[in-house]
Amino acid sequence: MEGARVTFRSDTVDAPAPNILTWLFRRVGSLNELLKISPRLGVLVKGAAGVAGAILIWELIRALRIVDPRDLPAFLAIFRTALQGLWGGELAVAIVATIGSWAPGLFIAAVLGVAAGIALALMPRLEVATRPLLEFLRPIPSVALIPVALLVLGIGLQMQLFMIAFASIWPVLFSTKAGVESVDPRFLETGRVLGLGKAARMARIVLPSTLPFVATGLRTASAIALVLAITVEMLTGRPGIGFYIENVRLNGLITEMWAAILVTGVLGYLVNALFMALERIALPWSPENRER
Amino acid sequence: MGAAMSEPILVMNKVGKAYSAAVPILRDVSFSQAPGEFVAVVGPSGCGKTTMLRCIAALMQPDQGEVLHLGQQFGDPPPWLSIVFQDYNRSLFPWLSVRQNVGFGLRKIDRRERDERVEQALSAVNLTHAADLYPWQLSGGMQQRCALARSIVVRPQLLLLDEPFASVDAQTRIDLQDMVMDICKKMSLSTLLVTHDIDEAVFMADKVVVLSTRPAQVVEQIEIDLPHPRDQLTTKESPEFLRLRHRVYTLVRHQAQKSAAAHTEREDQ
Repeated sequence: MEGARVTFRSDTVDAPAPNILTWLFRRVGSLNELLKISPRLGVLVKGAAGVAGAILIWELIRALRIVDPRDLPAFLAIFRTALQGLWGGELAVAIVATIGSWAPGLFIAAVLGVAAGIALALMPRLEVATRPLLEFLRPIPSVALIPVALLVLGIGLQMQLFMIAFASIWPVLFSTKAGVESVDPRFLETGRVLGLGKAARMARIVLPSTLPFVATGLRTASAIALVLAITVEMLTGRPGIGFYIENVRLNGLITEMWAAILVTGVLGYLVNALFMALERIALPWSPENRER
Repeated sequence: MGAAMSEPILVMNKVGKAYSAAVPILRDVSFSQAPGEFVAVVGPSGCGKTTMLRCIAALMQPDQGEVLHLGQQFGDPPPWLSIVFQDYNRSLFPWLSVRQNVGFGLRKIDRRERDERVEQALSAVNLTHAADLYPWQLSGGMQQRCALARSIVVRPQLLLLDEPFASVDAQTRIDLQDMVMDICKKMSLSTLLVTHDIDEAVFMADKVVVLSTRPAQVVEQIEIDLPHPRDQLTTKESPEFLRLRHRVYTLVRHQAQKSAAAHTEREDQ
């Protein structure tokens, strides 16, 4: 620790600095070195640069009046409003409400999707019998079913959960099914030779080797579930961030509207990051998570 | 006692297998293996060696004939038998550590004894230092040693090796050959090696069974009476080794030529 500090000091203090150009070269050179040493930091820096660029373009559009500046508040104003809304404001309440329907909806989709995926993979007859039905249901845009859900279930949590689960079950189901179907037959033979019965092969070979597929399906489903939660809120006035956005828009609170959209985007990003982190922790062996 | 000693560990009695009437794989395959004997099966590639191994392991039932262990028929893969497959990366479980992979087949026994046996097997194949790594973090040779440890930890009477050294580099193959011979002698295991490497077969085995082109039949059984322990240099330079190698090579090449001729004929039609 101390040694590192000494080197650092001698580097900056003792370095001859004849002019600003050599100093700049040195700085850039060492930044490059730093990025090479830690590729993760490099990714972070590049990502931050992308975000900064986007903000710059935003401000440029405002400055050039390509869009009416009243509809496009300054980024800093949006950012400030977002922070205020999150710090004990209405936005925080809205997010909690959205997560409150997103999480149970996704949970239902996960349980039913995994169960159905395994069942379809193990029972070819069931798979053949349900294939036309599933292929018919799957491409229907979930939003198109909202009127039906409203008719049958009315406005309420039940209807929202149904919509979230209906939309997000598909990636879980098909991913799980693909996982079970793609278990290497050599794994199963190895299990047989080592004396495992059918149930033991299921629990100790099929299940673990399917988990990475389930994880991928869940991650995709988590994003879809968020979209559906917010859409249903917008269309039916269920409490949550969707309803909040619609509400502030109707009241002409443009900065609040953009702040909520910004927060929604960040929420989606965090949800994805959360699922990726869980995958890395729970399944360090899955090909996606292996080191290099 | 005398009778029990002479009872073969494995008897193949006119075993036949066909995937369909048009595609016979094995026809009247017969040979037997004495306890503690190291048998190598060679033949032209694609002749049905792996199918034969799968019939022996009861992963597949033969259509004709019988496979006997100590004079008895058997159904499901029996506990006295284990296999090392060629493609270790498809048979070691990537979600288990090396140690867990080795212990995978040891269930329903006391935990302490289980741990002890796993450690013994790991040290027999020189993998103690890598026990907590995942198999995919290891080199090919180390992975195959892990698969070998998993097979011997269950203390089988018969070890089946399905081209176990085909997917590793030359130096690793030599090391693995020495290791397997050493372990099999120490454990007095009966070993059945399927290989297309004639040098390997003659070098390792007590008896080489030469199979014909498909449908596979036993062309000849050759006793390999080279002295033990065998050495990669001196054994392979001995006139007796060269003579045996020449003999097996001639037989296999003859079969391969027949197979090639058959292929050309088929393509001509």
